[in-house]
Amino acid sequence: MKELFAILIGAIFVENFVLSKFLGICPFLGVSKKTSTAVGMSGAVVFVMVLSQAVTWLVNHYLLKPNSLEYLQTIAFILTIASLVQLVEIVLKKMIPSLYKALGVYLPLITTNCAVLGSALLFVERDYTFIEAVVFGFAAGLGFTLALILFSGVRERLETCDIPKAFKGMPITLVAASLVSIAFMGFASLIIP
Amino acid sequence: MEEKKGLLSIFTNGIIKENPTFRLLLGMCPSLAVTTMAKNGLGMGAAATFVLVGSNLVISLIRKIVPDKVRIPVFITVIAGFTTIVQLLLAGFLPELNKQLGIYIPLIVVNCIIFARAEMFAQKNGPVAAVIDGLGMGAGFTLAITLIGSVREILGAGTWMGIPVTAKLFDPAVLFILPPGGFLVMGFLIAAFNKLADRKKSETETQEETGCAAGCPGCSKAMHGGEA
Amino acid sequence: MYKEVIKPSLILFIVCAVVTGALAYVNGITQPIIEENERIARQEAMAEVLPGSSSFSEPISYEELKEEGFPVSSTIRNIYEAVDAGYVVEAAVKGYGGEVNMMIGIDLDKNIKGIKITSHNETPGLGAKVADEEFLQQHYGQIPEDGFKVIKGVSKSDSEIEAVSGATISTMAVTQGASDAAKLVSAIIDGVKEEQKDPKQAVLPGAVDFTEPVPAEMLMSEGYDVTERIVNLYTAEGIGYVVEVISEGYGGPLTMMVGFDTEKNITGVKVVEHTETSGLGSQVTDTEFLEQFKGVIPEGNMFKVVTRPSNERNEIEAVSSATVSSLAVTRGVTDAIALISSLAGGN
Repeated sequence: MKELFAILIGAIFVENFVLSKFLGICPFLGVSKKTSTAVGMSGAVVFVMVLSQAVTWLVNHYLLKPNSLEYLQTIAFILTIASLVQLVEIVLKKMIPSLYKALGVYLPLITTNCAVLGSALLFVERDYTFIEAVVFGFAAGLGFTLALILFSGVRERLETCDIPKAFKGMPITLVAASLVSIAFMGFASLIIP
Repeated sequence: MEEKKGLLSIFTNGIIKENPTFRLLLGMCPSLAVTTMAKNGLGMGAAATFVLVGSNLVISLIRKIVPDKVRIPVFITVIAGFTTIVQLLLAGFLPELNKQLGIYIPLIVVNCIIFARAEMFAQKNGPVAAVIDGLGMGAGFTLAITLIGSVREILGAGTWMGIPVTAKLFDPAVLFILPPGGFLVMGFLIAAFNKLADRKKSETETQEETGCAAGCPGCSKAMHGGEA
Repeated sequence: MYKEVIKPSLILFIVCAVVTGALAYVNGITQPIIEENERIARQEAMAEVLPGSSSFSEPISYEELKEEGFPVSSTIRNIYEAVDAGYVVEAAVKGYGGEVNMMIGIDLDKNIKGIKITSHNETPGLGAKVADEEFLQQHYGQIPEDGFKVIKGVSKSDSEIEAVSGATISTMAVTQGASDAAKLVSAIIDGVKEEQKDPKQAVLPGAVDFTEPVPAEMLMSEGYDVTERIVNLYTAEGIGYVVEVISEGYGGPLTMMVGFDTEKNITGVKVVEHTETSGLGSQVTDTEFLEQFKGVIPEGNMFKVVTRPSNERNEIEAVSSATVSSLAVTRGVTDAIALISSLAGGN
């Protein structure tokens, strides 16, 4: 239980995917302009990450490992994630149209979100159990959400600022991200021994 | 002659005008994550270039026989294949670098640059042009992330490619090799590139907002369209 | 149909097959190289942490060491022996960014000769500094009696390790690995094993050879007093008996051995396996509790569990807050007594 809690807190704050591991930067910079889109994207990411952690863990544990096909990991994971995202989309569209409406537009962006593949590769590296891997995926998704929503607030304010021309757009966004990232470094001492 | 000039411009296009990192703002994750040292940037750039050239070549070769319906899964498979080859070769011959780059090597698969080039260029052009495009984009990416790596290493660790350079000038600021330094250096370098591009051409901010917003989601949308 | 479904599927399948084939081929080439690299890297690291040695034994794993009964901490992965020189321990401790893998070389005089961090994920510029020789060499030299202690500030003795500033967790990981390795190697050099000899010998001192176990069914068919808790009976010719009993505890079955000499005195009780609550019920495995059973068989062949200190021969003081576990052990012993009494009396 303590282990899981450590993974949870660790993945949300200490090793925040976006701000300290640089995973999922593209959606972080791309979709964080407005808080409402940030919320939608985050929901979709958390949802897909939990699912994909579960499925890729099973693929790795029952298909790749027993047959010593570890070298096919990358290819197996990315194809699994791509099909999973597709499947989620179809199922949501048919079964829960309201949820599909909320998350639908963000789903296709997730296949190329390196946070999803990244967390799958990390559970292999860290030798997580099934439960740990799923909790890790959930927490990493929450960490992504936290960064995205916090940052969308920062960016909404930036819009109204007088910024030197060369810094307009992405550069000032990155400088702001740097400051948010410094704030997150404060969590570094927050580790459960 | 005409043909040659065309190829040359395809090559230089990737380095300057459409520099994937600074102008197209693609592949931000590795650009920020592995650039704590110039050497890592160079290694990552070389690995990505290999994948780019390989997948561009193969995709260009098979572009006519692959039905549109399975285009995306085929692309993913080819790219993932080349990524794994790079991963295995690095583990075999450059284990030190492989350890440094860690999971960011397999993550080349989801690097938008590669998918974007497959979709926007290799798919529509012959193999020679596709390879040149891969080389140009790869070189642009490599130069960019080596530059970021150099700045961060010099400011943050006081060394360049492992050689001490600033020992007598100033104490290195560790912050630059920590995550915030990545964002900061990247922001300033893009601003500098914008300034340069601005001076060259009076090209306005049209380029600015393309960025990741249009880049990654752009290529993902293409992926989506292909599979649906 | 062909164009819509079969052709795309076929092409996708062919692409997948070709890519997989290519990967299998490349893997076939690089796999041996990767393994060889790892072997060379390990050899080099070992020679580095234990200078002057070049040939090392095959790795002895954590499981094997545990089996042998050495005090091995879970951070230990492998140990290699260098003949007449010392040992190299491979350890992996959880640091700040993941596992810190390291090698520790210790010579036969119990001096730490070298430490090498073989891989880590600590923060560059902060935690990563624990891989620097400057930090690591604080551990070198004679192994301190009570292990190392991480401190912030200036170290005043050999056992105090100055933490890398801003990276206490990474520091603690490395120091813990060094301490664990030191403990293991000292134990190996001194030949100290954790008490893990045959539990039958532990409860019946002096006995070496035992007969094959006689199972409960056979004892029953011969008319001895056998309860459902009795599993096996071992006999040490001329010295005594050991009864193997499984009793139901608080957390599940509790296996134990009860030793008797030929005079029907209880020579010892040992809990071999249990799933009692750690820190509470698990205390029934402590010698302090089990010592109470030793001695002559009490009046009426029965023990009584009480929750207060007692000097009565037939009263056993329960481990506090673990009455169920205490009862389980006591019932097991009582059943063993019944069996042994019927052995001597009945036949």
